[in-house]
Amino acid sequence: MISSFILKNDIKVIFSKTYEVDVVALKVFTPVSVINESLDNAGISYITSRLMTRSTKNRSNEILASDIEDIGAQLYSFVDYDISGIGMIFLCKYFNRAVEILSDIILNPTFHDTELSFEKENIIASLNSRKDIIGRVVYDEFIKLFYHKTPYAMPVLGTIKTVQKMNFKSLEQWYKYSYNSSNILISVAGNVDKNIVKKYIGKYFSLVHNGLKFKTPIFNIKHSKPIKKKIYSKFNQSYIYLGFPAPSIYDIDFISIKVANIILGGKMSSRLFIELRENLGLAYEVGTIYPSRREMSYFAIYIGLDKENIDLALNKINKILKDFYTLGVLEQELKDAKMYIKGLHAMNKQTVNNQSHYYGWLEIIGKGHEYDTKYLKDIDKISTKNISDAIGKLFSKDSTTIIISPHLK
Amino acid sequence: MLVKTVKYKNGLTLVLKNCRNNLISAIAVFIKVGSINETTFQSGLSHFLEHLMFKGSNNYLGNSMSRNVENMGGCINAVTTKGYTMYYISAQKNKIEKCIEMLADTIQNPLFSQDEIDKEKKVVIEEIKRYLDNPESMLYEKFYNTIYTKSTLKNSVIGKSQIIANISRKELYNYYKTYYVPGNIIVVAVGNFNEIKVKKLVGETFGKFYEQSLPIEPLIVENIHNGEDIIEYGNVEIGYMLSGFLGPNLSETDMYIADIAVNILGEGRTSKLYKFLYEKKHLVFSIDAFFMIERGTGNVCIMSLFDPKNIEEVKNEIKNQIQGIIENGVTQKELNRAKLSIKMNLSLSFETSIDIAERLGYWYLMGNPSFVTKYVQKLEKITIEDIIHFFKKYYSSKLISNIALLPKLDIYNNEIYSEKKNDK
Repeated sequence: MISSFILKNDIKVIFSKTYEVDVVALKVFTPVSVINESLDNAGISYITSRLMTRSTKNRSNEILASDIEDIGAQLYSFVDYDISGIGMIFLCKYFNRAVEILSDIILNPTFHDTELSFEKENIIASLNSRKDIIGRVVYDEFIKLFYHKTPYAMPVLGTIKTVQKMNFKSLEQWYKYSYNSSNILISVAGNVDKNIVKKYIGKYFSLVHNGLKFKTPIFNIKHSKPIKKKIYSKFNQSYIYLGFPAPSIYDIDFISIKVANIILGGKMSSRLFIELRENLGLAYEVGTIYPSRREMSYFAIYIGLDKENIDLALNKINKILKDFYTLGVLEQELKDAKMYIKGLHAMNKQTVNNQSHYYGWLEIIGKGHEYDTKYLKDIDKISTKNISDAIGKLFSKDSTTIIISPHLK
Repeated sequence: MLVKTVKYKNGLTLVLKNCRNNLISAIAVFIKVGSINETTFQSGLSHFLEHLMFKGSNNYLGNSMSRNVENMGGCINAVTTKGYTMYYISAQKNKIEKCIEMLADTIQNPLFSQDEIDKEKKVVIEEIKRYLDNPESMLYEKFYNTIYTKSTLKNSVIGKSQIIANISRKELYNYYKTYYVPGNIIVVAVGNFNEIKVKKLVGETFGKFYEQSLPIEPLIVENIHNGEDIIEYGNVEIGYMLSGFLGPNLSETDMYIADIAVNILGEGRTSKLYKFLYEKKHLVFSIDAFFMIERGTGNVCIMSLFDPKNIEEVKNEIKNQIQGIIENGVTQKELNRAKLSIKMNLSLSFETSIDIAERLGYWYLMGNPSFVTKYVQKLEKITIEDIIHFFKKYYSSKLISNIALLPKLDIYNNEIYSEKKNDK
């Protein structure tokens, strides 16, 4: 059961009542995130949210950590390309205390210089350690070339150069823009009474001040020609990441491509998985990905494989995409994909954490939590022709391919 | 928690947990076989076998089982560990009976066609390569191989490529016949279903497996021995280290204390290691401690990421923090906090049907079914003295091993040779 209410300072609160387990997930969302960043301040959303979880004007780092763990709670920040926020998971009986702590974090963060320089070191180390995982290396290179110099082109953490430049003042401004009552949304899921939710969220979060309202930046990504880049690296494995410009969540083809994603590479019985892994034994990890984005997304095929099989895999991928594009989708295949999506949708909502995140995300992107039921109806309406039309547009665009291969030496 | 069990004549056990509000049901089949059962020449066989079980059975040829599961909106997967192999399906609550039928056929009647074996060898060899490309996985392998010397817990789950490449169908089949026997299998059903129907169906399917003698238990208990300090140099950008020592055996009551002790030592922002090495001295980028429960002797392990220049200080401070607990104890507040943290994690692990099935099945398989139900009661009784005693009993500076992976000294790690071309 999902309900919502508005606080006196206009903050919207979404509440999903759950049963069985006595845990609550409470998340404060803001739409101000990577999408608003520039080449000069990439990573500012991440470092701002991280520092907010460190201390407040009322609680030192040590006291904050102690207050959170005294109630067995877990506090974390989350930052993605279109959303940012801070969340807590805790036992139902500590609802009042948890809400008070999270409101203190949102209302009264401090951005100490010492904390900032320490956090910078950690983020730079995280950025460096990304180079030790092949999947991250290929992804970082892909988004850099695919999204050119737009906000989506960099890791959520930013770059070493931008992180080094961050200062106390810029973070404070970013915080004021991100976490004001004009932008915040609160999402709660848990086995707790709605009146309790209303009482304590209202008591503590009505104090949040208003501020500058979020504006969706518009950026144009021009793909004038296909891009193909091969990188020789330290890894024993090779990797291919091949992506096409894909519709945003607001596009008419969004749902069709979501279904196409499942048929092509989103499950064990998908076309790519069957051919490349099951029939040819080329890979362990193979699939497709289509992230839901406010601005232009990408539809990518990924495969980790032996370097000897790169050309064979590329040929097979091209053949599978061409068949998909020219021969279309079978009715049964479409029916099966819809069933799978519906099943996965229900499974993903089993935890309070996932529920609070999903409903919060729907609100932030402007679809509203009510869209949850409409989404499944929209999936049902998709025809084989819808998919063919959408795929036709998708594959007519220029692709970006990154290939990682072991060192020549 | 109300959990019911049924023991069938052939030795197979069914565990049932009815959750009336769950829309999703889960079936998990646990087989008491993992890498600890392998000989040196079978390294990775349990895992390879797990892959092949999805490649066709009498009634579900080729990949038709995974296709069937996905076509009814479900998910199917499997996991191989050192001590067990688990196959599971999560699906809508009204599909549970079909899931039981499919898993029973797969477990009882696998085909192991030579063609599928040959294809799957390539897939698994690729998985091994991927695994060893990951610094943390590589460390984990080395860590287990160091702290376990006699126990087969040192065996790698993922195994060796050359062994997988040369394994024959006959060896595979013999291994399967030895370990996939009813007395070695636990079936767990969790969700909103008709218990009578499920019991009957499991009896008609899994219950019909031929009764066979149980395999011999491998040597899984490790005697205490001195730790080692190992530093490896590789193509990595930062320092990675796993430090640890042997802990209690699965059957010992100290196992309950281990969770609390390790939580106080290195889980969360108020833990000893985090507060000192991360917050106060800024020696690490991250540090976490875990108690690894194993069939046989468990271990306490600490994963740290750091600037390589700090390695000696990190090692020393880890020792100092543990020694500090032995000498000064912990506060009542720290103990209470750790208990609450564990209770919280326990609650979170009962949210999904598959998580519940995994937890129940594991403890039944390990011969300690009351673990889940009595866990909280046991935790409540743990005292500060128990924590001190735990570290005194299992830790000494001679017993701890440190396995580190540091950037090579002679290479410039940002070296990437690239070529860029535009295709028309």
